[in-house]
Formats: sequence, structure tokens, C-alpha cells
Amino acid sequence: MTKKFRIVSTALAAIALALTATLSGCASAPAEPSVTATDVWIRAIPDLDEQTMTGLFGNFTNNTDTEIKILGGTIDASIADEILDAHEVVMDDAGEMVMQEAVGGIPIPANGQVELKMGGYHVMLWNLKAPLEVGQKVKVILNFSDGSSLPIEAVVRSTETEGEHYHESEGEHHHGTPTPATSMSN
Amino acid sequence: MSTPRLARATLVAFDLTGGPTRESMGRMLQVVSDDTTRLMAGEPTLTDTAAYTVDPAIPVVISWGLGHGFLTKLGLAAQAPPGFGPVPLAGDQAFCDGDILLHVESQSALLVSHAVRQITRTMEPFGAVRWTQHGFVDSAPDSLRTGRNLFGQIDGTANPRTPEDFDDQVWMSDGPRWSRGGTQIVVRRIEMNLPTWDSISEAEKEKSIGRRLSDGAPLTGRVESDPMDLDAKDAAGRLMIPLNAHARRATSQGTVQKFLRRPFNYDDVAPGGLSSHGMMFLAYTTNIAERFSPVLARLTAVDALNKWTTPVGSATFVIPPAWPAGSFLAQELIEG
Repeated sequence: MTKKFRIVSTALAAIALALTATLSGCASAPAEPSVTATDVWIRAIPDLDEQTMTGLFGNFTNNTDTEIKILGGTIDASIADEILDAHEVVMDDAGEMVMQEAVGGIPIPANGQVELKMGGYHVMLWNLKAPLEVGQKVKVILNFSDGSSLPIEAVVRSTETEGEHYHESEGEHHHGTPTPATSMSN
Repeated sequence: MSTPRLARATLVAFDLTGGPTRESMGRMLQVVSDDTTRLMAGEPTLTDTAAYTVDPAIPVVISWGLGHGFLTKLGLAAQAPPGFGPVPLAGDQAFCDGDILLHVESQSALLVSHAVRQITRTMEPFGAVRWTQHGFVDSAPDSLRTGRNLFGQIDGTANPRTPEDFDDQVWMSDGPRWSRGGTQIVVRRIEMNLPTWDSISEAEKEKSIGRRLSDGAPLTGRVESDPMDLDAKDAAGRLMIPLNAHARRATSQGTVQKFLRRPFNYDDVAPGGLSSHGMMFLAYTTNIAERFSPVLARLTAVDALNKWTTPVGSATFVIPPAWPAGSFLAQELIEG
């Protein structure tokens, strides 16, 4: 069974946008963030021998009149690879649930919400450097298509739900070095 | 605890697994506190696998206890509040002890089941289920006062009633800081032999209890709240309330031996498919050693009801006070 990920460089683009936002920031009083988040959690990975990647989930609210996309984010390199990718799980034509990059980001409707959850949209953490134990708090920064970013403290939680396929074959992944776009397949 | 019993209760005792540390227990207490807060608000847990089951219109009440094993495994034995310790039980050791107690109540059996299932999954990295007990009571709104057990007996007449009673008998006001405002619970599982109980007359039942079955009034009184007259004799010169009557043996007789009785009935399927009947006897007290143990010792020695009852479980826990928003269960203990 071979699985491949479609890889593009949105994460890098997100960083560029975030930097732009920082540089162009002015001294006016901080307004409400364009995106706010609640109930953000990361799936526990207690044993790195079994798996070294995981997903971030939660509820995200768009406080503006324009659609905003979650492009990805960053995390301290001591926890995992620094770049986080926006992903989704979809059912392919063969009826298999497969994970792929959420091309262009995860949309949050204007003045609306999106829930990142098991078996759907999520943000991927790659190459964990240490196990993630239930109850740990992890800081991440998520980046959005309007150029804003949001620091979040996520709690690590466990679940038995076999909702999605995080496993991938050896040496197949992942971002950083863009590779030819291919649909992930089983 | 000072609220009326809800119709359904499940108690689960966990044993800590995998070498618990203050760090790991801090994480555990935070995640189970989060689950508890959400479920009591009628919301699903963060990782709920049946999220649409919750119903904000139907209260779910969840409390937690920390056992002797929790304190000793973490080197916190000195943090045990005064009078707290195991209440021994000879023989059958099922339904005994446990490091952590989860107690869920609701008018809805479905919501109890849901909460227990979600929290047990959250507990999985930290603890394994040691025992589980299910109980039920009449769901009448005043069921704290006096409910009937499977003997048909009104039980709990001597319970604390006023906030002052509860402050005196139930809520701990001294001892280690983390436990102040909490209480100590004794969970006794008492098997009841209903076939033999059912074979005796109402008069013998009432003499064994010391109270009338119809309304719970003492055999020397008119209404339930009347005090017992332990010296009263009938026309033939016999004690109206015999020396071995349960109510006589259990009464505090003016001492500190008072506590909250909050029993639930059980009617379970025993191994082999036969019925198993009895009572999940929950006692809440400021001090098990001073208030509860003397009464238990008296009843173990002599109690007419012992003929039909067999204790098959005994466990004790400290129930810390409710935690304020932004805090978590027993935070002062684990971070102290």
C-alpha cells in the first residue's frame, strides 16, 4: 500500500504573509483578532515508535465580513517540524478515507465558524521530537489568509476514534521540499 | 452531596497505572476536570465520541474522590485529612479500595453511561478500572431526605438537614488546605438477602429496624422526625425498640457520630445470571475515624439486620471541594 501526499508551499507562503503583517503593523490599539479559536487540542502521541505525526483540532471563528482561510502555522522546532500544514480527510472515489493537503487553506466563512475535527479538516504536526502526553499544553501559531496570525495554547488529548489515516509509508513525506503534486491514494 | 440523590448513579474506582508522578497527575486532574465541567454544563467533552448525546436540560452531577493509594503513591500521605483512612472489610475483597473515585449521577441512565464512558476513556493513559457499581433510587425530588431501600425501609432519617448540620457533620473545615471544604466518603457495598427477608412478617421487619415500614416513624413515635424513646416498653414489659434493632444500634446517641447517609440501591445480574440485590451505602463525613467507624463497629457487632445483609465492598476517598473556574480538581494538593 502506497500513500503519497500532495505537497505545495502554502506553509511558506503563510510565513511570508505573517511577516508582511508584522512589518506593516501600525501602532493603533489592538482590534479584535480576525480569527479566534476555542477548544483547541492536539491528538496525543505517547509512543514515537508507532507514529511521529499528529493533528490539531478545534473551533475557529471568523470575526470579519470576508472569508478567511487557515493556511497553516508554526510550532517550536523542539516539539515538531516548525511548519504546520492545513489538511483534510476526504473519501476518495474508491470509498477510502484519505488525507490530503487542504489546497488553498481551510476556509472559515465570513462571520462564520469552522470546526477542525477528526476525519475532517485539521492542522498537521510533522516529525514530533518527543512524545505528546495527555494533558500537556502546546503553543502553536496559526496563520490566516488575511495576513493575521493567532498564538494558541492547545491541550493534548487522546481519542480511540479511528477516524483518519495518519500513517504513511517510509520516506514518502513531506513538506519543506516541494515534491510533484500527486493525490494521496491507498 | 448536599443535593438530593438523582435517580441513577454510577461509581467507578480507578487504579493508577504506569508510575504516577505529580507531573502526570497534574495533567490527569486537568483533563478530567475539563471533561467534568463540560459534562455538568450539558456539553460534550473535548474528545467526545458521542457528542450529540448530551442534553443541557438534564443535569449530570459528577464528583471525584482521591483514595489512600493516590496519596501514598505520590508520597502525599501526610496530606491526608484527619481521620481519613481505609475502612477494612474481612473476606470478599471485590469492590474494595481504589486510587481514584469517579461518581456520576443523573435522572437519565443514558447520560450517566455517556459521562462514565467518555471520562473513562480520558482516564485511560493514567488509570485502569478497578471496580464499577451502578445504583438507583426513587427519583422523587426530596429523595435526599428519606428514600426506600430494597427492604422497603425508609433509610436516612437521621441525616443532616440544615447548612449548619452539613458544616458540622459533612464539610471539612480544618486539616490540609487542599481538602478544606471537601468531605470524606465511605463506599460500602452491602448485599441484601431478599428471599429470606421477604419470608418474615412485617412485625418482625419493624422490630429488626426499630421503625415502622409505612412511614419510618420510630416504633415509639408518631412521625418520622420523632426521636426514638429507647426506654419505652410495651404492655408486656418488652422494649418497644429491641436492643439489637438497627435504628438503636446506629443512632449517634448524642455523640459526634453523625454523618450523611446517601445510599443507592442496586439490582444487578450476578455471575451465573441470578439477581444480586443490595445497597451502595455512601456515607459522607468530616472524619471517618471519629464519626463513621464507631457506628460501623457497633453495627458489625450487633445489628438485627445483619441476618439479611453481607458487606461485599468497602472503599474510602477524600472528595476535594469544587474547583473554581481556571483551576482544577485538587490543584492545591498536586502543586503544593
